[in-house]
Amino acid sequence: MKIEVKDVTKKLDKELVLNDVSLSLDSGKIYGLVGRNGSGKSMLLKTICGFVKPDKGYVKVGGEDIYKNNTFPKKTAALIERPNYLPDLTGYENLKMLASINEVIGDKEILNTLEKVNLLEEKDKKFKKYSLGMKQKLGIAQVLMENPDIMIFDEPFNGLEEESVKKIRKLLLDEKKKGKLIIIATHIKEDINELCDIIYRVDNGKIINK
Amino acid sequence: MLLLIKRNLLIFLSKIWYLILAMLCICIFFFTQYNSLKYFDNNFIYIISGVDNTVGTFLLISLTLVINSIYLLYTYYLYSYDIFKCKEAIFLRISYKKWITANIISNCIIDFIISLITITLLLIYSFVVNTNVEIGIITLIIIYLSKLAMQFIYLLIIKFTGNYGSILMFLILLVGLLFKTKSIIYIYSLTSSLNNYIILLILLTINVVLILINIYLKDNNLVMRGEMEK
Repeated sequence: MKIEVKDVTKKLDKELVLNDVSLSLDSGKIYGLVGRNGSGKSMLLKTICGFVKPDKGYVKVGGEDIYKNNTFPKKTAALIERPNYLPDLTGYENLKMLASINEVIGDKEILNTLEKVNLLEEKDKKFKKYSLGMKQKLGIAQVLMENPDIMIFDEPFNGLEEESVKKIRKLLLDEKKKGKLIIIATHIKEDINELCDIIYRVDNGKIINK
Repeated sequence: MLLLIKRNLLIFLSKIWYLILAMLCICIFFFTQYNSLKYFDNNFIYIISGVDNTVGTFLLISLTLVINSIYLLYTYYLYSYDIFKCKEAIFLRISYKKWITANIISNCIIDFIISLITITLLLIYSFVVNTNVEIGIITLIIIYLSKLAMQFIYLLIIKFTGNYGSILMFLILLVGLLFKTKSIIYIYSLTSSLNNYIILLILLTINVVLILINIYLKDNNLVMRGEMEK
């Protein structure tokens, strides 16, 4: 699976949020997007997910131009910004409801994923009672659970305790070995150093360094 | 897609107590005002068509306004989740067209439930005030189509105005109180001036147009209005 971003430019409210961005991303690697808050990392991730149509340029995922074909990228899962789920359902119920859309996994896989992100004990707690760290873990579980080919994470380790951070980092490295394409937007040095094979520095909507 | 329909229904059920509470208030009002209502049972069809400014008309407006508001509340909750809060979890799993289709079908089921409750309460009311009233299948279909149109108008408003769309929709409902016989709340009032089948045809056309507009506008990325909100 390959992601190709070519000459992507986007203006929002007269502000240039993405400026002539080009990237080529391959399976079996973890890519880091680093930059200060407001540099355009999240906007770039949203564009790759098909949520923000660029004014210029294209985004191809698996060879398919997602905006030309008016589609979202296939076999892709993402956690962008703060995760938000149905507050009156438990963490487990929220994942089960999402998994029921495509029905590619069952209860066993959901529970397995919750265990991997250290959330099994809180699975029966309602989402509205979750701490920030628990919400983040649930968001990560949502990405991992259906074994997608492309995983996109925006600041995934916000609010997580050290033990969970280490566990999830190891998880992502294992996923990379399986040939997944993983993109992580972060401003934390340890994430970059421990996880990323290739790092893109983003500033003012532009890739300024690779 | 079947499971998405089931999910939509589960979301509605999780908010069902709003509807039950509202119905309870209306029922209490019906029965406590029983003595006043009895004197307005003449020409019931004129009462439900909204021609006369009576207590019965007021009750019908209240009932319809409450039911439509509850329905909008559910729609707001569903759209807020899918479009604003959890977009990547939903739309990376299902295509937009399937999402729209699942909404149409789940709304059909929910509207049937809401219409059934509305009709039941009106029949109870007519029984209490000792008047016969006929409500046919065409009227039920008209109620469903009008609610579906409301939902797609709401989706369009969200696309153009973001989350403020919910306030705008509620204002549209309230406006109905000002224009008695020509109000959109007075679905029944149309039956006095137009043939039911013509109303059905008009509503079907409106719905098809609204659905096509909503699907087309995804091409222009307006469906991702939630991004502009963040």
